[in-house]
Amino acid sequence: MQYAPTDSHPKARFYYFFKEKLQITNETFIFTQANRIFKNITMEYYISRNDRKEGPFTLDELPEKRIVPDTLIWAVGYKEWKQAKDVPELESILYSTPPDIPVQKPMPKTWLVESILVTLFCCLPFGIVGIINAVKVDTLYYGGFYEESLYRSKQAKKWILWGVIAAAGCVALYFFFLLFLFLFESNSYI
Amino acid sequence: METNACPKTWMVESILVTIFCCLPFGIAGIVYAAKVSSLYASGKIEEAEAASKNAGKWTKIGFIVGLIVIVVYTIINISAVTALMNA
Repeated sequence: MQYAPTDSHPKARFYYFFKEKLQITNETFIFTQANRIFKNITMEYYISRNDRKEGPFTLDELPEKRIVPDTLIWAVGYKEWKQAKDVPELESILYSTPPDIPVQKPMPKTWLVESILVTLFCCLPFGIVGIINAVKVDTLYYGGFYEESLYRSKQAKKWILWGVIAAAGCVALYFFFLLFLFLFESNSYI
Repeated sequence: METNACPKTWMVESILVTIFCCLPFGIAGIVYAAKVSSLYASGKIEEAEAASKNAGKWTKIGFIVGLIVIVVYTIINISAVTALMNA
């Protein structure tokens, strides 16, 4: 070649040194350049699944690999593994099938009416605790705190139950007292 | 000036009113009082302030009604006792 550097030329030594070190041929060099130019067509992706690397796959092969939004993806030029949802060119693959329908959890029972009735007719202190818990159920539910809402609902139910038990206990004690009084008085007359 | 502190809940006051003054108004106070903190926790600060105002209103109404009832009851008792003593 007319313009090829002679072996004695400093540039030539530099050239051969790198050619030998990196073990690249002119063909692979051209191929990687082309790869960079037509990145979107020839880009190859690796998938990390169950701590194992799979790939390389082309963009056309990826739909068969059952990628979900948090599957880890790597391709040339990435500093680190990325989640599939952060890779813009995978959007069409990720969101080509409809996602799971979000499950709407119904609001837990508030027990408000029951706790007010318990406050009025059974046991005031336990009823008040029931009301305080009951009122929080719906505001927490609509505020997006489902777990806390469920907890308050259970607490309200528990205190209502204790209120009813306390009232029933009081009534039972009262009737036992009356019964004993009656028996005692009827004995004393004999 | 906008403050993001949780508004006054009136919880203790409304419970005391329920026990010692006037049960129905006290319960209304408790209902609103319990909403204050959970509304505040879910970021609805304006609604929490409205609930706080309602709780305060019902607690005060309950307190006044309870006070009137107690005063009237005492007056009736005293007058009845004096009437009996005079008889």
